[in-house]
Amino acid sequence: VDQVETRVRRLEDRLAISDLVVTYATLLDDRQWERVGGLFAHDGVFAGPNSTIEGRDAIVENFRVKLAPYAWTLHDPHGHAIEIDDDDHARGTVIGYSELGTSQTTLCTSIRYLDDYRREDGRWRFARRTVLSLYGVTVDDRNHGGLQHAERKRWPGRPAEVAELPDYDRRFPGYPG
Amino acid sequence: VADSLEHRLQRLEDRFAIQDLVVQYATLLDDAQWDALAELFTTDGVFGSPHSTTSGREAVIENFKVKHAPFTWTWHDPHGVAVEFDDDDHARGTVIGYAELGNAETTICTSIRYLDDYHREGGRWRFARRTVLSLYGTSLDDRNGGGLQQADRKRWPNRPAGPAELPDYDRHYPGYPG
Repeated sequence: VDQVETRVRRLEDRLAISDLVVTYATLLDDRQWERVGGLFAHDGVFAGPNSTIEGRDAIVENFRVKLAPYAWTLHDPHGHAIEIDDDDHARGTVIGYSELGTSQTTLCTSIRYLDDYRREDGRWRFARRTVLSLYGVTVDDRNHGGLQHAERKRWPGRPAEVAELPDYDRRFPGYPG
Repeated sequence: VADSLEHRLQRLEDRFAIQDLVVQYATLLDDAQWDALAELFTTDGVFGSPHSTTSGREAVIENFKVKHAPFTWTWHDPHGVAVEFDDDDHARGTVIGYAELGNAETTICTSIRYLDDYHREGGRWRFARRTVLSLYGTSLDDRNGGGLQQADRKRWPNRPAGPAELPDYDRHYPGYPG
């Protein structure tokens, strides 16, 4: 009986973690900052290949700054693989896509999230979310050859950078490793 | 006869394991992790498209290597997954997805439907057969310039254009759910 109870709990946890990933997308797009903050553990980490933000307040402040130039954003998580490590810890990989629009341009970016999840104060939250991308370019750029470059991170107002995906050298193995 | 709680629970766990398999396939293929990718197929696994069939884990991987070689990068993006169980160790599924493949000359985009047979082998779910169908496979330029208006929507570079197998109005590839 105990074992069945645990296995059902694992399934409930998986679904709760799927919900977390979708909730993140809609709350971020709707700029519900306090609630976005609540999706992270108190000491949660949000990281890109070149930056690491630690703590819920700093993460939300980073989102505010990063998203300020955009009139709207669309975050669209698709496939999600999850591994439960124990009752309160899990890891996952999410494949997704997003668009970010301004009055001048629309950016599109292909995303892979590497996530650590932790149950804190009774609910699953992001303990660490790492964002990798295959490209981040304007829609115009994408349609006119922008994806042919090694430097597929072509955000306006920044020097073009090499994209971290594909990860041929396994620098970011994540789950499933 | 009511199905046992234990059995129903196992089926739910199996469904999630199959969803994980579908996502792992995408990231391992894009990262060219051939050894890990091979493990996702049964030993005698089959990878098929409407015009070719590759049988056996090693041949499947060799085929991926050859097909992947012209591209600097690929992005496989599975979305909806439907699964039906035949028995405790066999299931079938349909996956709707999208992919992009880029090189120095162009970026190809393709809408995909996978028809899958899954077997539990060596204690984990694997692809026993994966068939790939597509609605279109064209360059981004071609897609944006009217390429999808044509019956010949498989417009890969350096190959003659051919008709796409989707939509499957005539049920050539019923798969699951049939």
